[in-house]
Amino acid sequence: MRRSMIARVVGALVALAALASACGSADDSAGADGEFSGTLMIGAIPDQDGEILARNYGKLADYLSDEIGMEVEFQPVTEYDGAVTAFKVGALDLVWFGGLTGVQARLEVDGAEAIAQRNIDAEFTSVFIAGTDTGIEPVDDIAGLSVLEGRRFTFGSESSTSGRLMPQSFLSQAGVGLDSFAGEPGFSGSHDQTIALVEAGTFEAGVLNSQVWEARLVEGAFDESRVRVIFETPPYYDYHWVARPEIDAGLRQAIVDAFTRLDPAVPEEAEILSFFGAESFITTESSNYDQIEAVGREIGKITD
Amino acid sequence: MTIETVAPTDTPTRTPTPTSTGRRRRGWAAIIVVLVIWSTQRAGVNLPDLINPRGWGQVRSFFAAMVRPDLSPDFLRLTVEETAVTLSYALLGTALSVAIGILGGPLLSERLWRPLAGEPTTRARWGWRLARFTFAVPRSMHEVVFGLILLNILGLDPLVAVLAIGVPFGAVTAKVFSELIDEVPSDAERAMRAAGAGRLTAMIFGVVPTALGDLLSYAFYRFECAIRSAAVLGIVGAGGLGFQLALSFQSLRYDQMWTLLWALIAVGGMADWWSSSVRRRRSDSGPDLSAGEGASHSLERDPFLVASAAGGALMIPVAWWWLDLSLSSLWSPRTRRLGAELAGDAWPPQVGPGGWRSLIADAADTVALAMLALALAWTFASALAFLAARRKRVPGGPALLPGRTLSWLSRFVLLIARSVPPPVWALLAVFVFLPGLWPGVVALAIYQFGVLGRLEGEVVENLDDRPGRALRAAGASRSGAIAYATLPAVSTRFVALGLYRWEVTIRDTVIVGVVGAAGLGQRISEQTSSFDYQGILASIAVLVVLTVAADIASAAIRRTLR
Amino acid sequence: MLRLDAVTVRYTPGGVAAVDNLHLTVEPGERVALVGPSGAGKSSILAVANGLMLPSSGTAEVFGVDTAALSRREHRATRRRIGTVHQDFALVGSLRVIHNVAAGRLGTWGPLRALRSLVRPTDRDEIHAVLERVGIPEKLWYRTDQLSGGQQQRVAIARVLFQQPDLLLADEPVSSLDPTRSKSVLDVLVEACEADPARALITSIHDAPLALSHFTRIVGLRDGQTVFDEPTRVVTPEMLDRLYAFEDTPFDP
Repeated sequence: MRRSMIARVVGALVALAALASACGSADDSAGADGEFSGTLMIGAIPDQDGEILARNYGKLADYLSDEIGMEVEFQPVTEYDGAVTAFKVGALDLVWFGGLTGVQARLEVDGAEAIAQRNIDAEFTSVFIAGTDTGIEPVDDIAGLSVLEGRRFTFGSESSTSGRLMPQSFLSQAGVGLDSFAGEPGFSGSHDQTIALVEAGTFEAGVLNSQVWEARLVEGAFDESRVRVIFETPPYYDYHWVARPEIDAGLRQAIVDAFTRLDPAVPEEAEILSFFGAESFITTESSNYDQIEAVGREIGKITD
Repeated sequence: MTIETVAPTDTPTRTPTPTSTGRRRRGWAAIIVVLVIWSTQRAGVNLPDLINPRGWGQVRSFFAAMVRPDLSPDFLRLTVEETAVTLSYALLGTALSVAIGILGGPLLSERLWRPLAGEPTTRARWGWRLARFTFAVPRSMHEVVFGLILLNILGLDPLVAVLAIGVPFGAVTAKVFSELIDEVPSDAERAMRAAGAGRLTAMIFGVVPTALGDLLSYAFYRFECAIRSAAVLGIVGAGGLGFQLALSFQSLRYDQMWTLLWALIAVGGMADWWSSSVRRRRSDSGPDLSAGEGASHSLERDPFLVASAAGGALMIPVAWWWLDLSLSSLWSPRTRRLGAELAGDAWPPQVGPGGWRSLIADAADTVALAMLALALAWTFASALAFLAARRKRVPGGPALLPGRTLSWLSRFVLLIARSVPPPVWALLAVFVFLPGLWPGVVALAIYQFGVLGRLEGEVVENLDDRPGRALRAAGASRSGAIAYATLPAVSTRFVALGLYRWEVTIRDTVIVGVVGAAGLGQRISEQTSSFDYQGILASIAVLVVLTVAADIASAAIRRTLR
Repeated sequence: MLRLDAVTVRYTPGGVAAVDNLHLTVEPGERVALVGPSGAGKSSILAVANGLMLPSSGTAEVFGVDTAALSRREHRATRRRIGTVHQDFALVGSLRVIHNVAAGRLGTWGPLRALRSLVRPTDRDEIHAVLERVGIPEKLWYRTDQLSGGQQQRVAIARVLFQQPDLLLADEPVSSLDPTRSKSVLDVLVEACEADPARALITSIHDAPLALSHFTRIVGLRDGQTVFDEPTRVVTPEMLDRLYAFEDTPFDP
C-alpha cells in the first residue's frame, strides 16, 4: 500500500501528541505545602566566580546530600532576579542570595528565613575604584565620595548588594544621586566586568565587592597601574542562605549544621569552601538584614 | 481584501498609478532619512565623547582567545552537553511554532473569512481583524520577554525556554502561513465549497496540501532563528550554551567563551546550511515541464525536504528526553496560582518613577537605537552581500562576482556576526564606546548585519546573472557590471529585507539593554531587578506599540516597492 | 430544478452586464447545452447556478428555493446537490488523483473526516470504478499535476461523478480533449444524468455537433442574453453558425 507524504507527517504528529500526553502524566514534583518531601532544590545567585560555582555544583550537592540524608539537586541561575523568582515560585528551596536579593526573596515568600552565611558576610564591604589617570584621588570618608560627581560611573549588577545597593546608599549619604554622574550610571553586570570597564576607561570609576577585588589583586588579573581603590565602605551584612518555609525546623537545623561543619582541613570540604571564597560558614538570622531592607526601600529596589 | 471570482472576463481592479506610488515612495524615503538623522543626533556624533580607544585592549584579548579556546576535557564535555540543550530548545520551540502556525495560519488567512460569493460580512471582517490582532501581540514581544513572564509562572522549567521560543515564533509562522495560504490559487478550494464543503474542510483539502511544502521549508528558516534565540534565552538564565556564555563572561573567561562560541557558530552554521539548502532546492526546482503550473510547490518531488522534515520530527522525542520535559506543570494548581498572582501584581500597568517623561525618553532612545543599528547593518550587509553570495559554476567567460575564497570568507564573517549573541557584542562594545546609545547600536548592528547579509546574499544568489555576465563579456569592469546589471535588480529586494528587519530590530533592543542608556531594554532590566511588575507591563506595552507601529509602517513602505 | 428570473450579473457596479436580464428554467431530466461565443455569459450563468457568484439583480432559485434566502447551513446542503466540472478543472495539483476525486464528497465530510481521508483515503474501490468510467483507472495514485490537461479534465469529471449530484453543471468539459475522447466524456455525463430521472445536466459547449447529439435542449446566448432556447430537434446547424457568425452584427434568426 502506498501512503502519501501527508500520511507520514500526520502520523508523526499523532505519535508526538501521544508522547506528549504520556509525558504529561508523568511524576509531579514535590514542593507542595506541608512537610518537606522529595528532592531539595538548591541554587545560587551568580556572583563572584559564578562559573566555578555553577560548574562544580555537583560537589556541594553531594556533600549536602550525604550530610542531611536526602536528595539534593543544584540548579544554576545566571540572573539575580531569576534566582529570586525561582525561589518565589518554589522551583528552588534553598538559595545562596546576596543581601538585597535575600531580602527580596524573603518578602516574596512568607515564612522564609535566612539561615547561614560565611564568616566574612557579617562584615562585608565594597570598594570604590577609579582609573589612575582620571585624577580621582582616594578619599577618607563617605562625604568624600562627592568627588564622583560629574564622572562616568558604573555599578555592578542591578540587584547586587555590594555592587549596587550599599554603594548607592553611601553615595546618597555623600549627596551623590543617580543623576549626579556624567550620563546615566552603568550596570556592568558583574564585579569582574566593573574592574575591566574601569581599567579600560569606559567608566572613570566604579564600585564592587571588596572580596572579589582582593582576589583579583592577588591573581594579578588586571593592570594595577591603571586602577586603584579610592574608598572602602563601612561593613554591612551580605550573602546568606535563605530557606523556604517548607523546610521544617529539623531539616533547617541539619542544613545549617552541614554548612557550619565544613572543615578547611578536609580537602573535599575545603574545595567547597573555596568555591564560595569562604573560610567557614556561620549561622545567621533574618533580622541581620533589616539595614539592607531599609536601604532597599529607600532607593526603590523594594517597593511593597 | 480582494475578492476573487471565476470571472470569465478580467475584472478591473484599482491600481495605484505609477506617479502616486513614486511620490509615496519618495515621501517614505524622506521620513526614513529624517529618522536616521534624528537618531544620530540623539546618539551623539562627537567622536571624542563616544570612543574609548583604551578599551581596544579588552576587545583584542577577546578576539585573541578565538584561536585558543578552552579545550580541557571537562569543559569540552560541558560544551557538548550544553550544545545539546540549546539544540533541543531550538528544535522543540520550532516544532511548537510550526504547530501553532498550522493551526493559526488558516485562521489568519483572508480566505477563511471570505464568503464564496459577494462581500465579506461585517462579522467576518471583525473576526479576521480580531484574529490578526491576537497574533500580532505575541509577535511583537521578544522571546526574552516571554521567558521573563513564564519564569514567574512556571519556575525553572525547560518548558519556559520551549514556550518562550515557540509562542512568538508560532505567531510569526502563523502569519507567514496565512500569507502562503492566501497565495495558493483559489479555484480548487472554491470548487469544493461550491460542492457544499465547509470552509475549513475545503481549506484542509484544497489549500493546505499546496502550501504545506513552503511552510515546511519556512520551518527550517525558523529553526535557524530558534538556535540564535535559544542562545540568547540561555544568557538570561534558561540554560544551554548561552547560560554558560554568560557565566564565563561575568568572570571574563574569554578562552571558555570561545569554546562555547565556536560550538554556537558550528551548530548555527549547520542549521543555516540546512535551511538554505532546503529553500534553495525549492526555489531551484522550478516548473516541471510535463506537469504544468503548480509543480514548484510539489512536496513530494524533493526527497531532501521530506528526509529533512522526517529527520527533524524524529529528533523531537530525543530532544524531549534530553530536556526531561514534562507538560504537567502547565495545568498544575501552582501554575494557576502563580499566574493569577502575577496578573494581580502587574495590573494595572504603571509608568513608575520618572513618569511619562522618562518613559517617552526611553522609548525615543529605543527607536533611535533600532534605527541606527538597522541603517548601519543594512549598509554594510548590502555591500557584503555581493561578496558573500555563493558562486554559480559558470563554464568559462569572465565571472561577475569575485572569487570563491572571498565569498567563503565573507560568509564566515557574517556567520560569526550573527552567531555571537547580541548581548555579548554589547558587552564588548562597552569597552570601546563610552556609555550611551552607541554600544547598543553597534551590538545590534553587528548582529543584524550577520542576518541581513546572509538574506541579501541569497537574493544575489537567486538572481539571474546573465545580464551582468554579458556586460562583463563585453568588456565592462566588475564593479561596472554590478552597478548596471545587478544593483538595479536587487535594490528593491534589499530595501524590502531591511524594512522587514525593522520591527525585529526594535524587538531586539530589549536584549542589549545591559549597559546604560539603552532605552526600554535598560528600563525593563532595572524594573525586573526591582520586581516592579506594573512598571514592566507598562514598558512592554510601549515596546509592543513601537514594534506594531514599525510593522505597519514597514508593510506600507514595502507596498510602494512592488 | 433551476430557475433564473431576470438575472443580471455585473462584475463591477455599473459595468457591462455579463448576463443581462436572463430567464432560464431547467427541469429534472433535461440536458441543456449553453452555446454562444466567448463572453456570451455561459460561465457566469453556471457560476450563478452553483453559487460561486451572486446575481447583481434578479433571483436564482435552485431546487425550488431562492438561494439568497438560505442560511449558511441550508446553503451548504443545497450546494452538496450541485456538482460542477470547472473550466479550469479546479484540482489540487499537489494531491494524488484519488484525493481529488474523493473531494467530490467533501460536502458531507467534516474537517476531521477530511484530515483522516488525506492520511488514508476511503472509498478506494468506488473511486477506482469512477476513474474507469472516465478511462484513466491507472492514474489512481498519480499526483494530479503530473497528468496531462486532458487527463486532469477527466479527473475533474470523475470528481463530479463521485459526488453524485442532482444538478450537474459543466463548463466547457471537452475543451481540451480530442473528438473521440470528447464524445466519450459527454457520454459519461449523459449517462450519469440519465441514471436518475430527477437529475439534470447543464453544459456550456462550443462544439455544435456534440451539442446536437448529446443534449435535449439548446440555449443560444450572446452578450448575456438569450437568443434562442429550443428543444434540440428544432435547432438547425445554421442557427448555431449564425450565433457564432459576426460578433458585431445583430442576430437575426
